[in-house]
Amino acid sequence: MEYRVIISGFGGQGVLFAGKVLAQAAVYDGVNVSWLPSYDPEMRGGTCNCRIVVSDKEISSPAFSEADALIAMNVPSAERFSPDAASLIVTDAAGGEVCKDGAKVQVVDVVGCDTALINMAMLGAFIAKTGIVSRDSVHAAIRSVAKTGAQEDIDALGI
Amino acid sequence: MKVIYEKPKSISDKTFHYCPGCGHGIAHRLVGEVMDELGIEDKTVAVVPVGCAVMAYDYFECDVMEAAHGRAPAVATGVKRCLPDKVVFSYQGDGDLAAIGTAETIHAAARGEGITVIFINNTIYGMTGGQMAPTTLPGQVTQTSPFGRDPYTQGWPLKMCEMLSTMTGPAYIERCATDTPAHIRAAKKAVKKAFTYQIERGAYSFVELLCACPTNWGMTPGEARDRVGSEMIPYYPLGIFRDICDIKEGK
Amino acid sequence: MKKLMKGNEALAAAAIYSGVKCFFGYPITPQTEIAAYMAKHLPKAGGVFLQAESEISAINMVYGAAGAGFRAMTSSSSPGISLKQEGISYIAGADLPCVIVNVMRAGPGLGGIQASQSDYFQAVKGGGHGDYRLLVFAPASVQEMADMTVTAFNLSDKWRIPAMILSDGVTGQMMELVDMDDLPEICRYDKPWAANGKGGRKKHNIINTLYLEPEELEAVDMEREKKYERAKAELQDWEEYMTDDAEIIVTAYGISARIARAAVNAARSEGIRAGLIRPKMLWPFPEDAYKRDVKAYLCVEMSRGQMVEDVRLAAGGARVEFYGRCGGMLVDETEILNRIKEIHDEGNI
Repeated sequence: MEYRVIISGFGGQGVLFAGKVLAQAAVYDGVNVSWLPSYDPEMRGGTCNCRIVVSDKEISSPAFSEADALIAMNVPSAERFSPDAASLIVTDAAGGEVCKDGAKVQVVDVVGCDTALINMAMLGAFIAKTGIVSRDSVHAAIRSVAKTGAQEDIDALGI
Repeated sequence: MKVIYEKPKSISDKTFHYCPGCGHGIAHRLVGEVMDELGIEDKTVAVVPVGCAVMAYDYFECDVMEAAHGRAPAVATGVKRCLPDKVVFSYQGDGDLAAIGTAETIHAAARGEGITVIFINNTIYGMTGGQMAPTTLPGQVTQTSPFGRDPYTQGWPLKMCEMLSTMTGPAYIERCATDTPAHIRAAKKAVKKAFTYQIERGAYSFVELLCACPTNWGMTPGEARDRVGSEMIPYYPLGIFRDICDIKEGK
Repeated sequence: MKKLMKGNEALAAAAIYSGVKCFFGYPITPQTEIAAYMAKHLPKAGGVFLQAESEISAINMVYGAAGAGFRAMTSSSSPGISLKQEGISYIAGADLPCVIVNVMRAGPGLGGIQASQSDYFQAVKGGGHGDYRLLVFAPASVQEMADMTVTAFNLSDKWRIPAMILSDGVTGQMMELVDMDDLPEICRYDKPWAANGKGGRKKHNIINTLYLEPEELEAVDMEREKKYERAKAELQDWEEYMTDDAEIIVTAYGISARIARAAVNAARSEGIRAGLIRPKMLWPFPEDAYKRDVKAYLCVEMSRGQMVEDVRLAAGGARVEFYGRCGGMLVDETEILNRIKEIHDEGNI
């Protein structure tokens, strides 16, 4: 089983952080994982993404174009990557509107959510839906990856 | 028998390849005398340039590295950062230091790298046969300025001491000449002071020596020596441009 | 213990483990994490980090530090490596050991910043002027970024040949598990040739590349060539996967080899006897790996075909096909599989 995820949003939303948490959680679960960030000029304040592969086998390439799932934290990300996501798109209401295939979309209600925690809210929804990593592992991963505010992040996961 | 004059022991017995009247012979000797007097030959690494002094590794008795054209300050930086207790100097001509190696020169100075730079300014590329240098004077005829250097199309001469003295990094900058016994004595003092600044303060020091190049200037050694005083010194005034430690030369 | 690390950071950490004394760097995407890691960690380990004014200065600082007998390193990405070629030629000409890292991006010119493998010729065939070689390593994982850095320092010191880690943007940027507690052993070699101040020595040491007498220079070059010949005999290093009964062998290095391996697996599951040869060192090129009886080799690269020339030379008269992507595009598993199938089907007609 190999599962490929794209996480995308604006720089500053914690896109890379969410990816690192997912990757570290997979490590705690004892499976293989790779994490690859975008490093285009657009990372300087524009959109930003990272790609995670979780697998019980050796990972051939950390880079891929066709993903199993997408976590889109803004509309441009949903527009750009939703065609590449085979089975699941986790996004907010506005992001969901631009996705062509509504059946794949799982909308996370982020109204009133602290903007710094939208990444965790979406990651939590993604994990709840897929079970790709365990709840304990993701909590431990946040404590390991976050420099500060781990508990707020964990609370925001909602799992 | 009393010895009143001899070759410095920091200079090898190898016959110099320099032309009659060339300033490198004097400059080498001054550096050699200073190494002897400070007793540092065994702890010194010289970095020599591309240009007429390219074979200086055969003349200095200390350990030597031959650098690529203009890169001596970078090479010296690499050595000094590994061996902060050793004495490291670069010896460079005007094309090497002020044209192809300008960036390395300026940034080593900016870092206040603990090295000593001996800069030989003879207003011409010697080794390649007399082309225009960054220090070639306005109107000076060279192979590549056959009608005289036109500053409006070929640029104005770089005054390195003046440029570097605007910076915070260097501790000591002086320009000397090698045309008269008095000037040579002053140059010796400057070279010794430069090494002393490095040894005692770990500071960056820079000594420019105005030198003659009779062969490429198309002059006799005597005429060339006179030109240093009559044409170069008026354009490149002698003196101390920066001195922030105020250490007396030598000990 | 295994932990998640970026390729660039694992490489830098392994260099510190190897006892690198100095790192001289300059920012360029996608290798800058190496410099940033060194800036943060090398001084604590007793080393020197210095951000140079240019790539040219950085490599010449390496020349100075290596000439003084210390383990020295610089890293860059393709355009910056072009700038370093002058210094690399001098370092090779002075027989100095050092490690140079190229986290390749696409060229020519400013090109792009995505991963590429189009600097193979530059790394393996020279790059700078003169007859010289580099020991060239081709890591395909974060673990190998670390392991090969240690080996590069060891072999460079032993052979007095500068080493290059020829990586790429993906391998440098990606995070995966790496075991930093199980790195290769460090080997130390005396450096009596170092110009580090004479001390008690009778004769001065000279680090030099200038030989004005052609007879003398030819003799020096020939002596170095003998060393290169010995390296070719001793250092060839490659990995094989499912080659025993393979009739079509895919060959690739670095990130391309990982993707090619997945294609080989896919081909096997369709009943095609495919295998993989992955050079772990690109110079000396593992010529011996290609002396076998196969239907065809398929060389896969993220370039317009560079390593394939060495594969053709090594494979004698065997059939060698090429598949590559360039411009920063990764090779594609399905496209590789399709080429394998094409070659397989042609053979059955």
